[in-house]
Amino acid sequence: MLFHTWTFFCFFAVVLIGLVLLRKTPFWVHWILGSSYFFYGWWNYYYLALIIYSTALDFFTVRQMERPGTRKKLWLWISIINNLSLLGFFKYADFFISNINDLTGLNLSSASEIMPFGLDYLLPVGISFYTFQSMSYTIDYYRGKIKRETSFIRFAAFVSFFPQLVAGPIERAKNLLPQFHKFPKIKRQDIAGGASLFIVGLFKKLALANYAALYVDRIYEDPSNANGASLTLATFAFAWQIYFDFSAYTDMARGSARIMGFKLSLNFKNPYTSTSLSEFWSRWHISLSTWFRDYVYFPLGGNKKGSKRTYINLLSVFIISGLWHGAAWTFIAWGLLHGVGLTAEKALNNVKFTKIRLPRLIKITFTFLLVCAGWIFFRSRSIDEALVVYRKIFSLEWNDPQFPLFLLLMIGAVWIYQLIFESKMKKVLAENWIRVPLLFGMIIYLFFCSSEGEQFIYFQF
Amino acid sequence: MRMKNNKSTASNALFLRPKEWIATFILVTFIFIGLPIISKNSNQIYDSNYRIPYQLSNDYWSYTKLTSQLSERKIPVIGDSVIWGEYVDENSSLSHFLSDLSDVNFTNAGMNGLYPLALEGLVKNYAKSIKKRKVILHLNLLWMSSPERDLSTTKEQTFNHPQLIPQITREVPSYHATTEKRLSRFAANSLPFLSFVKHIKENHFSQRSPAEWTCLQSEANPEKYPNSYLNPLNHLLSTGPLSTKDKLNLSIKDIERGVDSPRHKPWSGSQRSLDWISLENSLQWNAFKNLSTELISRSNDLFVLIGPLNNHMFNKMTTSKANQLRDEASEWLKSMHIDHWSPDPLPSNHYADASHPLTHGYEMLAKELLKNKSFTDWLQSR
Repeated sequence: MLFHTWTFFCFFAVVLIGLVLLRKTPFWVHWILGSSYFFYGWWNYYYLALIIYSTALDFFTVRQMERPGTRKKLWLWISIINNLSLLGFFKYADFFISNINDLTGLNLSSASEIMPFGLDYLLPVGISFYTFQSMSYTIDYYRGKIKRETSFIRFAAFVSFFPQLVAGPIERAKNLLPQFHKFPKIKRQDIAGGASLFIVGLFKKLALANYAALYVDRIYEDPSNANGASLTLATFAFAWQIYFDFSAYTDMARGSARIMGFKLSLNFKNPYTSTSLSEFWSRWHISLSTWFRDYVYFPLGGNKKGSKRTYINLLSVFIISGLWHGAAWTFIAWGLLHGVGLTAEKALNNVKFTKIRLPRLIKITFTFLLVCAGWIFFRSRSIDEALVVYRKIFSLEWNDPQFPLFLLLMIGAVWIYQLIFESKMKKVLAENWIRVPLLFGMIIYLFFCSSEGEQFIYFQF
Repeated sequence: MRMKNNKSTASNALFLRPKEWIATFILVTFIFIGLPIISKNSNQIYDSNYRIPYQLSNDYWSYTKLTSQLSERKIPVIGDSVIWGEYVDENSSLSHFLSDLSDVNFTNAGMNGLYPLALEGLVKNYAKSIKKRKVILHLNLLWMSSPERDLSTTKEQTFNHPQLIPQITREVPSYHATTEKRLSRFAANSLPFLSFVKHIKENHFSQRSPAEWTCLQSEANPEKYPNSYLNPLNHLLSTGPLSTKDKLNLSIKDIERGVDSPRHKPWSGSQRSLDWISLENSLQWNAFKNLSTELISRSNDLFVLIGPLNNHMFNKMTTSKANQLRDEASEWLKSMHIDHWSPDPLPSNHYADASHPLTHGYEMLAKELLKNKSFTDWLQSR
């Protein structure tokens, strides 16, 4: 069930009515859990078995950890191994098997051939998100950062909370779980704010991301036939497409949660206004980057074990992050590129000549170009294809790219808006004579957009 | 007035307060209701032979406009492609000849690709202004000539105008759309603004969204995208709608229709048998009954024209079953006190297929109709 569908509107209306009716009973959490499972099962009800298994396992392991005299670390590893096995099997099995077959000449069966009961081998939607969310609960409990949740229903509602279930933000137990302890106060401001967020998200998805996709898909369909200018602009458009697409989902997730009185974390903060790669990662998919920081980078030693070890840790985290995005060498290359970029940035920070003061806009442009260089790997279907794109871009054999001017204007307008928002002139944007007509215009334009059920890019992760 | 944003949870300033939402809601409602009303009532000069252009067969807002701007004295002739004129040009349809051969004005209110289930949806949702007037409704029995045509088989089928058939209230076994498709089509039928938006897309943006229109590929080789550098808003304001007379050249020059087209020729081949279904079990017949009842409930004075089918094309058994269905339909119309007439089949060479007449067929049918006493009595009644 996608946010930008009539089905979701009907579903959400029913959920809201139920929630209000049950507000004085203890069953409102059950209602949210039931709604979340219904929402998830809408894709494929077989997936439900996985999420219930993952939830039950983490709930059980933490309960075991609490028992006096038990080996906490053992239970922690049981949780981690189980979650990663689930992820490993459903997401990476075929990738590893095909690579082993290629390297060794063996003929190992693919994952789809070993599925039991004739089930299809499918990547369960959102598995990367909810396993990470559930796993963070176990780790945080082990580290003594949170208390054990005593109610399975509340814990299951936390893991499967439908607004953020399939594409984040990846919430921490510390933030979201307490919100299931008391019926949320639904204030008028929350409804108004949530609706605003939802409309902005809807606009980003239908008016911007889907529009950019039209050009990107056309050019990336066959890069060998495209010219350098088209590929440059398609890469530029893809950078915005993936931002609009993913942040749209988060906006709609946060908006719908907020209408119900729940507060979810900010996941994107105008990433293309970043002046460095490290700033970019503090603004892009924040819930994932902080997850990797807290549960992978810090345990590896972070930057506390000398510069060499810091660089190795950075590279490792970004390769893992690449792999998290998808089981393909292109994603690994994308992660590696960012890892190398960040390592270089860290190394150069210590060299004096790099501390030359450059205008902010130049830094932003340079960072954006670096990020775009990474997106080429992300968007291409293979490393070879990505190399073709690079070669064509740098060949300077540029012809008329036939890039839609209207799209360029829309992206330009968003970029300028974000730059103003991140500047001292921000308060201008908060004037109601700007906000009201903008949202009004967005709502009207939305009706003119086409929404033939386009999926979100991040669902595949 | 400014609004405070929580720095840590906001990436833009696009938040409205409850009062601002109310203002926005009022503005949106004004556009939502106002634009369709303005569009519906904005004057469009319809030629006496006007019919919805083939290119706009899915533009139901054009149908709303056409039917809401009918003058009091005009009689709409409602029906499927037989009334619209599948093989003929707009100057050779039944309504044209009826107007031409009498002193009464008839309007072609047919639409290409319709069938009773869709016609019911079209009239119920998009022709609400057809009330308190004389109306001719055509019944094409061919839609009951097989379970597939009746859409009553459970096997999934692709057919025209899926938006017009019942989405939620009744089950159409051949229609296997997803819940999302059904809901979006239900919304499109229920909210006039959505049909108006579709009308804009159909008329100005080649049936696409403005964004898709800027990425539209021409048929040229190598690939050309002629709209890449155009501004959709400017295009919208500077071009007239396809449904106006000026743009109708498109349908007039339609090489698929009219006496000069290669399709405009008498049918040929051997006689066929059809797997007629009983009226009692027919979805299409039930839809036709609902449609008739709906038109009567709007205080219309209804006249039903049944067929005539091309019986020359059918074998004996098929013809006899067709006649039986025609008689049953006639019985029901009689029981409902609906004036009707079922003419004899036209000469064989006046048909292009099992139900569509050619130009001379329409002319002959109009003459016959104007000679028919029940029709002339109905026409002269107040």
